[in-house]
Amino acid sequence: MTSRRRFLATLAATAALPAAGWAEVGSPDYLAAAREPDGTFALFGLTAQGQDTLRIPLPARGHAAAGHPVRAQAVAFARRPGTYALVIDCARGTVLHRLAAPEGHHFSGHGTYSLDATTLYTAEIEDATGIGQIGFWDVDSGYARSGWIASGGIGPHEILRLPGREVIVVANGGIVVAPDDDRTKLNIDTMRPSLSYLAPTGGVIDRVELDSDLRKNSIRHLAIADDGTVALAMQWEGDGDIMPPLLGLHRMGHKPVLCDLPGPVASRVQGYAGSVAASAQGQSVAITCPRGGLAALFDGNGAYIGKIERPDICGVSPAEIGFTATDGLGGLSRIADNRLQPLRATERAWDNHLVRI
Amino acid sequence: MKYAVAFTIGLAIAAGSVAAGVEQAIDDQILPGYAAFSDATAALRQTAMNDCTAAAIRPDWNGAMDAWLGVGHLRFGPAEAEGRATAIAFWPDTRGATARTLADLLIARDPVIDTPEGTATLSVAARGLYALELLLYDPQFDDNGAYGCALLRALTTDLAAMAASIEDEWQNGYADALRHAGDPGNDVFLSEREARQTLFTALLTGLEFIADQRLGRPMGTFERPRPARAESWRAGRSQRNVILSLRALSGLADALADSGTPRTDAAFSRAMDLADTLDDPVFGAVVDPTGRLRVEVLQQAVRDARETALMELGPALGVSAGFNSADGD
Repeated sequence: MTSRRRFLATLAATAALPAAGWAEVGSPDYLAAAREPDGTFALFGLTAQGQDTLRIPLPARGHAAAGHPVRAQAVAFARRPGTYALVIDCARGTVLHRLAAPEGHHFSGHGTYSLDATTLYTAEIEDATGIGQIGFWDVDSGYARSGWIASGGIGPHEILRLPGREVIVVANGGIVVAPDDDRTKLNIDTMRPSLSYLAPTGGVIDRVELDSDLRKNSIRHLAIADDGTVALAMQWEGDGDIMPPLLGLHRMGHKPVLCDLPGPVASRVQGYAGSVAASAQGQSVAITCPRGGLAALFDGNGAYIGKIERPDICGVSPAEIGFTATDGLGGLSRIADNRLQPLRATERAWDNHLVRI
Repeated sequence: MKYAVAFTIGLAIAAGSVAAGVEQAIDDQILPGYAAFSDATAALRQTAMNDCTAAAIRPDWNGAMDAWLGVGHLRFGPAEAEGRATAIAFWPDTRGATARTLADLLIARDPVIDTPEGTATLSVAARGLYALELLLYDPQFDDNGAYGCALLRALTTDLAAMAASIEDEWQNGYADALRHAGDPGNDVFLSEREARQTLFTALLTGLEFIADQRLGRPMGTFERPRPARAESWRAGRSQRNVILSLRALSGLADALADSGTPRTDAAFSRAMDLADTLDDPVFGAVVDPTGRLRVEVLQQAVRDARETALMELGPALGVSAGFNSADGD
């Protein structure tokens, strides 16, 4: 984390950006949205030890956030129906820009920045068809819309960029939802989720589909190790008596490795992984399974190594050692050595994702 | 595993029905349940030591299974430490790993089982109650001579050791951590709400497990029922497992709700009545439409009990199904 920080700090100095940097807002390691005890919502900056560094009120329940790599700016996506996103100045607690999804589209709730941090990429879905695209927003022009490319599939959800490369990785979940509620799924019998690697020019560098018996395994969330190994977390839309793998590991140009849970563990998680994290060196991967109240841990080859128990656990992100996790009960925890160590209890209900800055 | 809990001696238990519910669950359900499981597995081990024929061991194996169903839904704390619950109850076994691993062991006559430490390193698929069920009931494992006898003794010893460890850890630390949730120094339960949420989650997921796995797996789909996927069908006790686990969950719900929860009580009663009167010991009737419908009615009643507890008991406890688990993303 430290060396990456230093690199980015150098980048910031070179670019001589006028905006505040993360150091000015307490150097949070993570961003996470939560519901407060009074029912309102806010975005928090958190240190690796779980302490608050900032709190920005949000108008509604948040989804994921994206943190600018250098500037103290966060993009908070509205949850449903996802028609807008807010660019927040984390130093002043003000909304800098309100991004509207293009006409007839909505945001999936995830976004990421380009390698040089000058462009925000957002995953967008056409309401009528579910067809996905990646929207471009120019940071230095006040996040003006600057273009889009096809996402390479239906219903893109999380997008990330490969470390050190201008390659956008897209989890095309494959699901078309009803335009009016974003919940009713319309195409389960024909869905074809995929993982796409895209150049910003729109070129498809690689594209992966799972075997036909896993077509109903929606690829939704992503994590990437420093070496470019992509961990993909899935949500099963097929029959409940089948317990498919919910984690895959993939490197561009190779076949994905699918990672099974032991039956007794798989039977608890209801085919649902909520978030995924990969350690920087890729030696361990965690998926959270809030419906089973557990996080499952795998080694870098995708072999199951154990699980930890925590009701409603969902947000997870790499830490200096192991992982940091958040849950709907307000807990912040460290997962290390195959154990869970609580760091802090809050009265908040942490939302699905814990995003590392 | 140690549960480091620092709490003030003589600290007053927080007033109110909710804390009382947690106390009651610990004292009336959890501690007696684990003591019974520990006793039953110790008896099973002793029997296997005395006479390792399947006929001699089966009654005590059933006693241990009965006792496990009283606590198997408590998927947290000592039961989950070191992967114990998975090793005790490796089911569902979606890939036939238990039969395959046991067969490999028997062919190799692997001496790893000569010591308790060695047995503990076996694949979880080859340990615990369901591996023992195969050895005791499946014709494939009928007669395995001296090694088969040694394996039964090793697995019953291993099972009894896990049960004893769970009971010991509950008695010496974990129960106190749960009772004193949220106290300074309690790094297991950071708030009193967490204690309630953990028990409530165990209740809900226990009901889901009955509906989705114990009943749902043999039901399969209408076009393709899967009776051979029923739990414990070899021992002829699939229905009994449902009855006993429902009874345990009903007891947990009762303990948690010490003010009245009439709708939850009624929903549990209905599910238990249906389970008791089903008369389909291994869910073999799922292969015909009428029989399948009866199992499906029971499944729906179990789901109703879950929904009712969620609506009625959850608010009384000040907890819910979960901010994230209830809302997909």
